Amino acid sequence: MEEKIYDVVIVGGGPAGLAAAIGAKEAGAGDVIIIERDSSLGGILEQCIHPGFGLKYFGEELTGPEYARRFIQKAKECGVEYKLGTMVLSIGEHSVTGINPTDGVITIRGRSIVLAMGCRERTRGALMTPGARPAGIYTAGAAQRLINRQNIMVGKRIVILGSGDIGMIMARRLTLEGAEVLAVVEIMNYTTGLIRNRVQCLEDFGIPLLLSHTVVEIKGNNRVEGVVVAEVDPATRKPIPGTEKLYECDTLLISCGLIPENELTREFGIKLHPVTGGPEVNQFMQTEVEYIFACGNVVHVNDLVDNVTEESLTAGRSAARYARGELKKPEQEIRVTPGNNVRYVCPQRLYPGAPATLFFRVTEPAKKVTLSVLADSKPVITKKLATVNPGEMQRVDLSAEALSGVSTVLVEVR
Amino acid sequence: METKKIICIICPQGCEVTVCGDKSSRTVESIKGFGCKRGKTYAENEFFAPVRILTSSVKTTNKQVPLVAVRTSKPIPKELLFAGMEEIKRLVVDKVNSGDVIVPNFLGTGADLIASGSVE
Repeated sequence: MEEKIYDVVIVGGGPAGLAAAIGAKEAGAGDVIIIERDSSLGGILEQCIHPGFGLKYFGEELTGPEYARRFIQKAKECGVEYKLGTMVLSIGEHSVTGINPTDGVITIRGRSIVLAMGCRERTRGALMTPGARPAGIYTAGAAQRLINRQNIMVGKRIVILGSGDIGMIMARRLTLEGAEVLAVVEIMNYTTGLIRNRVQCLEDFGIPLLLSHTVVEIKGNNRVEGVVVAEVDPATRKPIPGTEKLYECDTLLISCGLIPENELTREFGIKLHPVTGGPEVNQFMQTEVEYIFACGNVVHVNDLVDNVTEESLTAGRSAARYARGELKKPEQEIRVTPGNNVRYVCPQRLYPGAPATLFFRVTEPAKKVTLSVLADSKPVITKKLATVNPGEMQRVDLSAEALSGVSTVLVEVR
Repeated sequence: METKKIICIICPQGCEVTVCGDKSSRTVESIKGFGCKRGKTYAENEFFAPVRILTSSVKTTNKQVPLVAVRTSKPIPKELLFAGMEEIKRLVVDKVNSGDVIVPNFLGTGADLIASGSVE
């Protein structure tokens, strides 16, 4: 029997993988398969039961499961195959190897591969928070899954470390479920999540937000009995001695950022970007290996799923094009670099002579600034921005003409 | 007469709008700090009658899927959120599809409580 070769093999069935599959089919790909380790498609959206999804993409406000459902249905309608409960072990040359209880170890061959593994949460260990190691310490997303999908309440008196979106959303969710959220503690002097969440999740319920504060100690033997919170110096972010205060609580939630889940990428030998933690891509979401594409939070952590959908549709379409012999690596690519007050720009490389959308984040919040995009040191875009915030991703569109015959692009905010 | 500071959530700018007015007669004495028309309307609505979509989950009879996500079909008055949670706590559903009405005219608000997930 001849081994089946898929046009596109997608690792991960969350919002990125689903949109990539649909994008590939719409662009004319033949066989497309998604490999997903969970028991259902939809990824993290299945536990994000709060509203606020789809405002950009659909122009209406949906919950996570509703947003996912539209893409799951569409993927099924256009004939996307999928394997659930299957953990991918490694990426190979035009192939993906996974394992599940029915098939054992299987290798699936593909002309193109799309990486859509998403991200995971930074844990207490990664933060190196001092103190005891009792039960009652959860990442915010783990608590979200327990409460929203498994009907397990995590605690009664809660402190949340980090003002990321999931942390703020869980502050509201826990309050509605009858717990008392004593404080949301944030080391930076601004909230790292969206303003909408600060207002509707914290201020609506009178939950205290402690900016420029952090947890310096966790107390408790079997279960968390309290956490010590101290003010930090805004410049050094080091705790200020004498400002410690004990919060008696039984649970600590951690919402301190997300890390793209790139073990497979790294083991295959694709370099990871030091700032995003994801593979570098061009505007077609193509990695340095021309048949491997990547999209969604595995590339860079997004704040809106709508953006993930958009860039994943691109990844899928590009993967379909590669499968039929297009999009070979160009001889020379344009290098994109972050300038003043820009933390990173994605994509990091550009195919010359094709339009591109650049996504970027600023390093520091600022008001009334000018965004400039320079191609070979010549300004091609100058735009005034009223407010910029590290928590809100910015975007700028470049035309094919602006990218013709240039070798570098610089993005800066002043 | 009452004065309230409202942070606008229409866009990422987060304008701080100060509304001064009388809630019972629904009159605005003064409104300052908004950056656009939509922001002005948002702040006025927030001042008189803030509303929110309530989302939660409801118990099911299915052992594999113990909960199904629910939401109000449209925003309901903010002060009814906790009353809504009390109501939701008492519910148990069997099989539902996303979009099915679980409680019509939830708490007399005119909004329905609908399933936002499915249990087969």
